[in-house]
Amino acid sequence: MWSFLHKLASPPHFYGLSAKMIPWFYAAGLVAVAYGTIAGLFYAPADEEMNDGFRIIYVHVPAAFISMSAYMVMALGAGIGLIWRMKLAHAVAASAAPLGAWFTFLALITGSIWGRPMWGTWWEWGDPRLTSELLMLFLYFGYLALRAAIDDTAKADKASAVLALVGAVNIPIIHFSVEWWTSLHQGSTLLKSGGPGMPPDMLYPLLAMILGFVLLFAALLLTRVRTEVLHRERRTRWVRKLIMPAGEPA
Amino acid sequence: MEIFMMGKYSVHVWSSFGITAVVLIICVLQARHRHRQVLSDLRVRIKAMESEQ
Repeated sequence: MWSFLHKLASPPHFYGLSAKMIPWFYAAGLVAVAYGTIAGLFYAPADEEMNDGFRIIYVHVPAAFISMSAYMVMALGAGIGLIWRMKLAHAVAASAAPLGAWFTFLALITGSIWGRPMWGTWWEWGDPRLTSELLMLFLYFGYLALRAAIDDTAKADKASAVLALVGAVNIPIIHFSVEWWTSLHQGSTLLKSGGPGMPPDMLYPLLAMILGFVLLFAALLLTRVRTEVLHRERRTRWVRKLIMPAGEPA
Repeated sequence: MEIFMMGKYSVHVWSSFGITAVVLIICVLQARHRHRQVLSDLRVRIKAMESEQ
């Protein structure tokens, strides 16, 4: 087990293995998202209260889920990188940030499109769920800006890791905001006690969408980590051999 | 065509799905583009290094 993990963390091994995994993650993710989209849009029954408008959750919930998961991946990578000085972990953290920012943007936009007809407003300043999710977008931007401002990769890793870890306080705040304070945002339908509060033909497409987003995120993250690894290892022999295989004229 | 109508929420539902599709495609293209860019930069660098030797 440990030797497997150790091997996985070695950059050349990771680079080769991830190349084989990425197409499978994309393919499986696309299948799940295709099923979730078709079933969610056309086969799931309309909601009693929100009618067809509820179908927005099929993109909003997965986007919001990934926006927070990406932050946890980033903070975890930052923590492991700081404590164990593992270079691959810093590469993972740096790769999760831009993706997390995109999914946070998506969660905010689709939430806003939901809010207009359901709550009568695109945005509500001071609402705890909305504001803490927006804060996360700014944390991602701050992280990316800090990295971009520091040329030395090792220094950028350390400084941005501290920011990522401090900002992680926001994650439980986002999650529990709808329980701790009054919010326009409804509570979690999936995680509430007594099981998910929706019929199976509404629920399965949502679970498929979440799974599909996780798989697509994994494919995107692996692609970006490979890019990071290649750049960080640019002076090593294995990268040189990879780029210029022996026998090829220079 | 009727199944594509989402009552008074048509615009909201379809724009949400449309924006999501666009963002996902941007994510994929961006990741691939960056990877190719680093690969081609490295090719130039390593070629230059080898011709120096």
